[in-house]
Amino acid sequence: MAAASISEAARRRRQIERTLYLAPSIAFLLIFIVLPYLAVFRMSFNTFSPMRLFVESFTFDNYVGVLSDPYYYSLIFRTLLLGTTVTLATLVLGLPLALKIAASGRRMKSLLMALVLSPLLINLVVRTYAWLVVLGDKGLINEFLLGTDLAASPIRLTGSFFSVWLGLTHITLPLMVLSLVGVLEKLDRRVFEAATSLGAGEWFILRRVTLPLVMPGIGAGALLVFCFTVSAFITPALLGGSRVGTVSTVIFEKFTYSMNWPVGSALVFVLLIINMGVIWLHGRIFGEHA
Amino acid sequence: MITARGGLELKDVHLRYGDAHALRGISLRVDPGEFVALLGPSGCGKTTLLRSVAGFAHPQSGHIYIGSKDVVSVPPRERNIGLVFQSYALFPHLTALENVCFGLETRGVNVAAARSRANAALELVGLTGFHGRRPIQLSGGQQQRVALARAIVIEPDILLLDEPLAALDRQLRVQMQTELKSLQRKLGVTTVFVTHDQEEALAMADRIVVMRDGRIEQVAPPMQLFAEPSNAWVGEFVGAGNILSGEIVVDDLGPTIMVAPNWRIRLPNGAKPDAGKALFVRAEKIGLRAPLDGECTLRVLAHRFLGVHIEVHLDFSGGTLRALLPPEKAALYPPNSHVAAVIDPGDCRLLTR
Ligand SMILES: Nc1ncnc2c1ncn2[C@@H]1O[C@H](COP(=O)(O)OP(=O)(O)OP(=O)(O)O)[C@@H](O)[C@H]1O
Ligand SMILES: [Mg+2]
Repeated sequence: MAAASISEAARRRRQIERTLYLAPSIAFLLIFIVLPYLAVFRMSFNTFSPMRLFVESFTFDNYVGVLSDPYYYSLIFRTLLLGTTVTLATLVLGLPLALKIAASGRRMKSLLMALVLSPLLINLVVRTYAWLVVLGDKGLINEFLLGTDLAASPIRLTGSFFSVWLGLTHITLPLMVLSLVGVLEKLDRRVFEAATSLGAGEWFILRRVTLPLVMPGIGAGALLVFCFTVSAFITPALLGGSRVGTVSTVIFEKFTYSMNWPVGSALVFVLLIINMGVIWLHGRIFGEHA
Repeated sequence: MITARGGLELKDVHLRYGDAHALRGISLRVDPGEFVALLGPSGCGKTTLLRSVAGFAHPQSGHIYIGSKDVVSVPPRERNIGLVFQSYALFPHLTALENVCFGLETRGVNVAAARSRANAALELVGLTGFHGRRPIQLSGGQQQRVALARAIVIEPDILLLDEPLAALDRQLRVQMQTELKSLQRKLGVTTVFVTHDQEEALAMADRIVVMRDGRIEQVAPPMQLFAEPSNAWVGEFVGAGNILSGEIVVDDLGPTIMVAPNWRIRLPNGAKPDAGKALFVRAEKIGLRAPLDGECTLRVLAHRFLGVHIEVHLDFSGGTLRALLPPEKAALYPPNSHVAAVIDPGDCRLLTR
């Protein structure tokens, strides 16, 4: 009896100690993530007032407003479309690249990895401006088209869904490639030799062995790229301008120019729910593989 | 199910990995339906040889024939070889049945036929009732059987096995040795089996190929290899052989080898005395008795209990010896006692060092 209570006390002490180790990170999360979110959450139930910024209240009007306005529909739809198409593009571009990297020798591998990662070494704003330099009315492409008389006047490439898509694909490609390479590198080379000796050609192996085995990497990469894309702000803001808004850029606009904090806050939670929905979907699809 | 379609022949195969010379002129014939074991110490090139036959390693020179066809320039997927890896290399995302079906799928066999052939193969290797399991849900021995079924279901011309039993515990290994051997007999498929467990090689193979440092030292049936090693290294490597060296001295009864100042052993009949040669005698052929005056004595260093026998380690001025004795005999000569060794010239062979 005495022994049991001693060990009980020891166990409790260990538990307290363990909680203490976690205290700094829990405090950090609480202060810098949970509290702001709670504040924004509260704000999303207030009422917008042009004169007084907002009026303390408790109403679902902001959510109802956002979810019943075709403008916001198309905004959310465009954001989801952007997330999906960028994810697909990084997958289509990233998979061959990742396969090549995983199959390369040591020196070729580090060279390719450096190339893939190089965009991450440059500031996001600078990278996005680089696209403006390429795509702008006086940019490289238009200079070329005008110079060779292929076009009479500059073609508008920026401020379009395409330019935002292009910029985000470029920026998120490393995330996809890294996820895929991480998984590919860990696969047993002998499994591929076994497939080959059983008579499988390259396409057969890709379809029946490589793709199924790299699925967890595809899932992780897709999750990263999708969430990054739908939450991205700088790239859609600079490359899309006011005409191609996404949920993120409109949130920014609500909090700054139009000062409509309650609706902006409601949109923050719409975006959060989209991301959580995608994470849930990822868990449903890839949960077993993990 | 399978009738031997052809043998395997390697002619002067050389393979270099940069500076490392992994295969230095390998020539070997394996007859149709024969079971050959590659035996040799770690790093001697066994896996490299197997991978060259499978097409995953690329010799710089030489020829490899499967049947009568030189396959050196044939890509691995067209060689029709059944491969079993030490790590099994099963497809982790496929079930046991799907793993076995894989090689039939690539050959365009329709699903129903593939399934029934795969089922038959799984039954043949003694694995029924596990069809729907993924590799991770199978034990090591079960995975081994799936790997074997996957390799034989395609009716390969050659079956190559790289230490397929090394990961199993001893009891299961011995059982699998017997099963694998009888399966190979039944199928009649030409088989090359890599191992560095010489008991395994002796128990299973029709012939054993002893490799060392990228070369073949000897090719012989197990009994012959055991009785007549072609050189001193093979004698020591295969089974507990003793190598005794010394000056050849000819007296009025014929040539002897002086293994210690006061110990000469007569050479076996017909042996040509020759410098650079050593006397080979198997451990179980050495007898022990109490030493006489002036005779070369050996000190007992240690006993090693091996089950049926005790290996007695001995030490004398000319080197060391190992003798294999029944326990009651060995008990007469405890560690640190002094004994004399009795060696019958008829049990000795004179081998090149
Ligand atoms: N891919 C490679 N690159 C460079 N050297 C290699 C490579 N593969 C094998 N070697 C070298 O070739 C030699 C033979 O290797 P191999 O794997 O054939 O030996 P092994 O007889 O199978 O040994 P073990 O019994 O340990 O499996 C070794 O010296 C090894 O270091
Ligand atoms: Mg090996």
